[in-house]
Amino acid sequence: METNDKLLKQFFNEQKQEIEDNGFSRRVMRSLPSYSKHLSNLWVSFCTTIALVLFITLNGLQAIAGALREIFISIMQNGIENIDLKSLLIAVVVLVVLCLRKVCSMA
Amino acid sequence: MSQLNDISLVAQVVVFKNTRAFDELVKKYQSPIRRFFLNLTCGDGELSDDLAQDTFVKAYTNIASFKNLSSFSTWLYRVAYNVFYDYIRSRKETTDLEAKEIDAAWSTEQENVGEKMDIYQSLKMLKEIERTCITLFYMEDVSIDKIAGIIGCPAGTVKSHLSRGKDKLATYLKQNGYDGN
Repeated sequence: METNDKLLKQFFNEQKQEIEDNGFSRRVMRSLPSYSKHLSNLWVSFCTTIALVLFITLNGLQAIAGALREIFISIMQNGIENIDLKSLLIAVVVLVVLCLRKVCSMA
Repeated sequence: MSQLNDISLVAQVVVFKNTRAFDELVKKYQSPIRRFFLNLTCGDGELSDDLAQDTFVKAYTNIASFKNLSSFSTWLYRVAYNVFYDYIRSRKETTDLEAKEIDAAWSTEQENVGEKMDIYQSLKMLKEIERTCITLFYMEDVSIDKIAGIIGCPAGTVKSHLSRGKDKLATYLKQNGYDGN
């Protein structure tokens, strides 16, 4: 019994070896749930910053104001009676539904 | 000292979600955990790394449940053992094989009589639970009480598994001409 114990201790001691990391820790760290969430947050922040910079440098506010002004002028020129109320109502309903869905997904 | 360092790193992970501290723990324990799986899977390196990765991810997500009642390494081995057990269960469901059939199939693979002694070949002789106990005890120098905590059974049962595994392995080694010299 004692001999068997000695034999096995010696056998396992001879076979014991340290395993090199070889990128294993990096692989583990990349697969951690918070790491991927962190990366996704970084990506969203990056995209938002780029969008804001482009919006400011390309005079986004002015472009929106110009587009709204043109729409308003064309409505006034063509007359309110030409507006299709049914289409307008559908567009408003669709927009409201989209907004509600967005709010629900953010909650 | 090492245990204190582990506790400090665990505290940083739990309180501050410090991934660098967890990275240090991974670097420190990757070798014993991967070696443990290599022995349990009888040398399947790819599977061992997948199971080891699962172990560390599970350890990270459940690290708050580490209550410092045992050392971090014992807790990590317990997570590793559960990961391996889940894998064995899922494999049995897919292959629809009984444990006895697997063990019987593996125990008949004794073709390399007289060849160079291969640890994985010799571990195939053992049942999974015996392999776990033998690996932890002889390779990783874990005490019987700690093994009992890791596999969740009484110390007496661990001793029985160790004794049976030891007899099988010693007989196999002697039959294959290994005498320790």
